[in-house]
Amino acid sequence: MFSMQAQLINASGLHARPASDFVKLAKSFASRITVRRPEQADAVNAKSIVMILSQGFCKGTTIEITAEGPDEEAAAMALAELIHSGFGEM
Amino acid sequence: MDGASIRLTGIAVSGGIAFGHTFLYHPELPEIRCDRFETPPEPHIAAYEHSLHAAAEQLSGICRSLQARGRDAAQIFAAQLEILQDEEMDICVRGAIAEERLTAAAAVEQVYEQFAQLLAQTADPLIAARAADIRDIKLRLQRVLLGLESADLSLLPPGTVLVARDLFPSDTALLDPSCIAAIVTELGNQTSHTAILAKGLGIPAVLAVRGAMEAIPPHTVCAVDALSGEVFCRPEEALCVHLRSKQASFQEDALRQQKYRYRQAVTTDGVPIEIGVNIGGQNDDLASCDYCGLFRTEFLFLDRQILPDEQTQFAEYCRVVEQADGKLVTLRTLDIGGDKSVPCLPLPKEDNPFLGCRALRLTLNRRELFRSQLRAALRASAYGPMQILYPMVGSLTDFRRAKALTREVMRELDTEGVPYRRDIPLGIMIEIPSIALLADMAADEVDFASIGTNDLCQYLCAADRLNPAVAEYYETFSPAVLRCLREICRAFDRAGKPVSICGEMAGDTRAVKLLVGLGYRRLSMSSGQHAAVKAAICGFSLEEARVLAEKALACRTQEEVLRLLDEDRSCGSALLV
Repeated sequence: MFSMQAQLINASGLHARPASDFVKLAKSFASRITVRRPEQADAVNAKSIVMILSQGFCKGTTIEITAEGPDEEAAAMALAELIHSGFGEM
Repeated sequence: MDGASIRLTGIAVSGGIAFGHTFLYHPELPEIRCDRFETPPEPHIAAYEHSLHAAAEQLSGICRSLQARGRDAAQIFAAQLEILQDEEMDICVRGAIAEERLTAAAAVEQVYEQFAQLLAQTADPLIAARAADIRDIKLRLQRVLLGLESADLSLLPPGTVLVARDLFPSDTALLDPSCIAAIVTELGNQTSHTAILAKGLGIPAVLAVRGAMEAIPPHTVCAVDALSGEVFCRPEEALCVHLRSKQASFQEDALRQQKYRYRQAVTTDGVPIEIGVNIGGQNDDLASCDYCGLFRTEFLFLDRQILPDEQTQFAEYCRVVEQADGKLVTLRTLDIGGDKSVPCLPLPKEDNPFLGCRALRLTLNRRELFRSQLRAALRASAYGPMQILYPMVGSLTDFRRAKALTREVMRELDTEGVPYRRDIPLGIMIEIPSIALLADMAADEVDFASIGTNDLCQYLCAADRLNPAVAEYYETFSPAVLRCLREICRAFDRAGKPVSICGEMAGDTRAVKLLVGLGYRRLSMSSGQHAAVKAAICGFSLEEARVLAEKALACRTQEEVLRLLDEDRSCGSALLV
């Protein structure tokens, strides 16, 4: 299991196109991947656009990405990197 | 069963005769019961997987078709495709089948409904609105699972005779008009949304056909005679021959009228009549008009899940102004409620929607919505001649409130240094009798008026124009309607202010001579009717029209008026020969 935290810096947060990009990238890995706010217990499936949208992650939110599986380290790092990049909105 | 031909009748709109194959539009679905099974789950999982593939294929097909036609709605279906591939929902559905032993359709019902509610409860309205997408996909999967035909209007094969109980703007927004040979509906009439759409596109349509959905079999050869208002399923050969020859002479007439299409409409004694066009943002043709008498802005709100923002509206209004190329554009502010509802603006259900909170009444209540539209319209006015038309004005108080808000928005644009046309004319739709009776006072205050004869007639006659049971009471040619029209025209002529007619009556070739005789010099209709109306105007003199109008005003019943018009037409055509 491998976890990383990243803060959303783009204006629209994890909504609309950024949410869609995030889920697409997550689906390209074999590992089971979840995300949650570090202060919350419940994590949601990162490969589910509906679950991601339901969380209402907005700009400034810190997200903890947890991956478990053969490519867990690469998966968590790639997703954190996508968040840091601002989804091309910067 | 097979072979027996079926004949149904209804109200003919938009003319023409067409042959095609029927498609029955059933947007609703039978209730999904919570069925459980005892057998191994594998076949149910396989059925679910099959439905996923089929739905994905349908959605990609719709996306491609809409993209090819340059339609924004393609995005909605691209987003639905993404939801269809949602891993969490997939896991849950499989779980519900394998563990709870629910049938695939019941499992989809349970899981998709649960996720839709999850989104509907979020605080962000943009995300909450996506719940509708989940429910839409749910229905798509269930249709496949129940072996029902897809209810998509965007993927119909060419030569389709579309049969429906009724068609809403949100349904028809997806239609590819080139594939629709004819339209048959159980509800509707001359002035309903479907009629206006069919006329604009020149598609033969027969509406108010009772029991059409039960009587007409799917995927059957069907002939639609929108001249007589008849629908024939499996027509016999002799009938086909007859219909084809009728179609040929109709086309000949249409061809003869086409010569007039791009000409100026002038009476035989040289009085020019300005011909306007009613447009709705799709398939608009402004080439044959003198001005745009009605730009319905509702279209922007139809095929989207969220309200269009100011910038989106501005871009669309600019596009229309540019397309008009110097011709005056009459932009009517949002006219929804009544028979028009839109998904992005859910409204409370009313017992009497036509007497309810619709059009201006609605936008005066939803100030932010109104402001963003007025801002977008005013900004676009800097790019070409435009006037703003408020729908559903019942009193001068209504007009003053709308005008005050428009002035407020103008001051806002002033402080921001945004350009707009300062002397933009502000006018009213006359469709409510209370303002029609005060036409002289209205003419003094407003810059112009446009008469919506459809609603004016329904309010004057107290007959719901969509209710087939009172169709005979909806009297377009009632002497009361004619007298009302004459008074409005006199009042505006005296005040020296422009008045035009933009209702269905303006495009009705039976009515044109009468309207000119009553004093109207501006008539606006869909571009499909231009050729026929101009041809009619070029066939009479103002003097003849005036005499006809005087006779009509002396009639005591609609029946007498119609008889008079029929006699006049047969005399006219006798002279032509």
